[in-house]
Amino acid sequence: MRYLKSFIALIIPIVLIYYLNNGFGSFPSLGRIMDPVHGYMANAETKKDLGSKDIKIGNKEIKGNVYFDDRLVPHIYAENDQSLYFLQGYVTAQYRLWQMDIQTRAASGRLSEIFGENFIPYDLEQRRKEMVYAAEIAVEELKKDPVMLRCIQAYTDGVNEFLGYSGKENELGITYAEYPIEFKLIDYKPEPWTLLKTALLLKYMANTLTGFDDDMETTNLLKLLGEEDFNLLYPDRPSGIDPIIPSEKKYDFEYIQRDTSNIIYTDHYYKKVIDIFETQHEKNQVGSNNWVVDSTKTKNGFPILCNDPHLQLNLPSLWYEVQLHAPEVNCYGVSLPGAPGIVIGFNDSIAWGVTNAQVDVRDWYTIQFKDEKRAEYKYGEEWKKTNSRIEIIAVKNKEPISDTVIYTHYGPIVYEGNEKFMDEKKHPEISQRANLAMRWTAHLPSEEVKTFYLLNRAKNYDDYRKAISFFDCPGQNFIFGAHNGDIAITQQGKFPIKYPGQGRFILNGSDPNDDYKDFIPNEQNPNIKNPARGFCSSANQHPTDSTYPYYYTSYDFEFYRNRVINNELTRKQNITIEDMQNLQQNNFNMLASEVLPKLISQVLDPKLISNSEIETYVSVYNTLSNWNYYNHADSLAPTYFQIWWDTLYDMLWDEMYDDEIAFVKPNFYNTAQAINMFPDDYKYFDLLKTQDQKETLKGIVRLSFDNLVEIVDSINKKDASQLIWYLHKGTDIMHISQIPAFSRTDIHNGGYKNIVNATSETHGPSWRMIVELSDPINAYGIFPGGQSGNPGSIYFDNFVDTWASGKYNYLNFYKEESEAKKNAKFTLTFKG
Amino acid sequence: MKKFLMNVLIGTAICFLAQTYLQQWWIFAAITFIISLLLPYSSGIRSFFAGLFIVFISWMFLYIFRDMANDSVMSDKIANLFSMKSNYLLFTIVAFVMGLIGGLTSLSAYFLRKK
Repeated sequence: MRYLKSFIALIIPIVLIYYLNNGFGSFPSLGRIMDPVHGYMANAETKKDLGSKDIKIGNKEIKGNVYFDDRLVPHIYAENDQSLYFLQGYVTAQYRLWQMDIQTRAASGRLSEIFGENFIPYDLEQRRKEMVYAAEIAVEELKKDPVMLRCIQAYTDGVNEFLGYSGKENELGITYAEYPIEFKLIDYKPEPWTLLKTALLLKYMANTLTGFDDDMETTNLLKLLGEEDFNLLYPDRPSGIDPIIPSEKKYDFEYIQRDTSNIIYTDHYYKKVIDIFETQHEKNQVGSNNWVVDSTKTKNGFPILCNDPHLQLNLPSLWYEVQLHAPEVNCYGVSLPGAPGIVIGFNDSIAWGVTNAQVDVRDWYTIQFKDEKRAEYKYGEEWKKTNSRIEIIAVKNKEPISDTVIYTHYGPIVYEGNEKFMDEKKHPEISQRANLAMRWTAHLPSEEVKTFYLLNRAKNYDDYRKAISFFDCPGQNFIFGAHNGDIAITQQGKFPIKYPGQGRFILNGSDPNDDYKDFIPNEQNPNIKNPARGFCSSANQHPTDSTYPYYYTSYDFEFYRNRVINNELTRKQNITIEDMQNLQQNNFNMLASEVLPKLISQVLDPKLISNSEIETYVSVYNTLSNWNYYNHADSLAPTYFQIWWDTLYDMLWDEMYDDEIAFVKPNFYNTAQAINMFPDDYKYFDLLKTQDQKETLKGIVRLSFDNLVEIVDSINKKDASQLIWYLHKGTDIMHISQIPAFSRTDIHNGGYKNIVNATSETHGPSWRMIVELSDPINAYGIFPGGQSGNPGSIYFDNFVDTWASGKYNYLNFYKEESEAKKNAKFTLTFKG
Repeated sequence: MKKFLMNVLIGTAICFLAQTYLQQWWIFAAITFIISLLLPYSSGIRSFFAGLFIVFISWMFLYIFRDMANDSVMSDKIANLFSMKSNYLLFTIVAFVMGLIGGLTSLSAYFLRKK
């Protein structure tokens, strides 16, 4: 009997321990997580974790000190380049290991392995885009360059040193207690770092910045609207644009000609694939500002360079601040965890920054296979052979799945003519057998890391031009300022030479005339040095005026931020750092300023209405009429305008929407022009759903205004504070894995898309930097996060409030090691 | 009663050290079992509560030590993640559940010894 009792008393805890240890259902190992010593509490950072340490390295070549300042920025002083990148890899891994892992996993389509089957579509998409293949090509290219290979290998070794990687497959010295918290919560293990992972990270950025287009949408629109209406509503080059390169620039070089071809009209619609290509939502969201003013325009007589890239705001932050010092280099700025060097920053002589070129470098070709085997496809008079690659996707708690990707010389076949992409019953005309190959410049061999390696060491304009010549994809507007007074901007990337219209629509893969021929030579990419107006700037707008001899197109050029910036920089003299801070925080809503007067004029003036029940109507009308067009955090008007604009926009272009067929609406700039200039009864202003009625602009404007009043009324009844702009907008800085407890929500900040302070719901200025090129350099910067990737550290999100309130950190750029040492909170000493 | 308190004191100290230096989070269950086996209790109820106290106290101590050094930065987020109002509520619930496990293994050893 006692044995039975004993057994019963024992079996219950054993079963509990078993399930707490091994997890149940989707729950991870709660027992291990709750362990007060090795579980989540091991990630609770204490003073001891922020103390000085000596670290012994197996490799005799490695020597250097890392001084952490009071913001936890590492100032790395190394005895040689190899040590420099080794130490950068080590400290980055120490503070950002999980982020490095998840970003490269996401790039290579390996999320199902840790999150389960829900991520299969995402992984398939990444595999079809051949992110890994692109990264492999980049590694091959790297191996031909001994200097860069040594630098990236040193970085890789540094990361692996932190991981305690023994060299044997996946055997790491790092223990469970030392894992970043996310590994514990998601229940998986870190892996050794590789050259390929660094390459994957860079392709991940290329995908974030160039991994979309609207070729299917525009192809469908051409069929729906016809050429005339299409060109009217979707012009490549609308009137009134303000390009990056001012018109003083003369393009007097001998340019490369190419044959043109006819744009083919599709006889069927392409089905929407937006759900599969999730990155589509990045469109209209990523962007950036940069500008540099020369010494004639500044108060202190030194150039000032500014940059703020608008990317998805996440925790841990995308950027990691660092100073890199070795005998031949001393630079400061932000790095991407996973890649050596500094991406945006400055050194003793120069400063540089980037914005996205936004030029379309991803095109689609229809492929005509010879037969079911898909081994050959038509190309002119001949049949070309395909290649194939089998992709295996591991899935958590499930069997792995495989996918065969077919290659053409254009690139991988992403969409096969299979039933997955069509619904014949509803839309019999939807493309039935469209095999689409993706051509993307991210697949070309290139060496982007080298650009940063050289920029970090650049001393003058020539060094800068040489450095950026290695940058192929994503195309970027590299801005430059030097202590000697030179300023410049260059749109750098590998851009194919296209015939007018090429790449706007889906191309014919069997017609060699539709193929790419040459690329624009680097020196002919749009650029200008020391322009007469005294400043260079870019904000993702058209790079040039119409005298530039090459054709280019974009899914999303910017029309507002650039004009606000250029107006301000033209107007201002005696510029100070504070002026530049104010410009980066500028909340002027130029779209509203250009469209609202016309809209208000169409609405019935409340003075003409006698009904007393229209309290809300009157207050909304008056608030909007008296608005100064600034999207300040605590205003009501921006909320009213945005609700109104969103409704109106959808009503105006309801023709360009379908549940199944891929369409895109005219952009805001062209919409504003249509509102201001088109006749009141323009055919597409009509509402489709009211078949027996014909609406005019005035009718739609009034309808949407009534709708606005209704919405405001209903929000007022529930919680009036939700009408305050920053709460209505709801800027959230989410943890990468979307865990709300690790995120910061409803950030108190103004601005919006198309505003210089481009802080939207999910995206915004991910790093604001201002550098005065004096001696010594006077620099400020801030990103909405913190230096540590550990949610258990106060350094995880300690910059968020500073960022939100529009303030900056002074950047401690030390010349001498003794200064770094003096100001160090703690030091890591590395000895080989 | 003296023996009970003595056992709890010794057990808590051993449990505290074992959790700190050994990787197995469930080591407390083995400890309460062994203590109950080697230093037998006078009743089943006592053995159960001694086990519960040993685990509860040692886990609470371990949590609170680290938590104070960290100003609750980590535990507040984890409590939030598990939809708990406060980090101390989370500590208490977890330490109590682990305490129940420890109490049961202690009880099991008591039955095993009882003639």
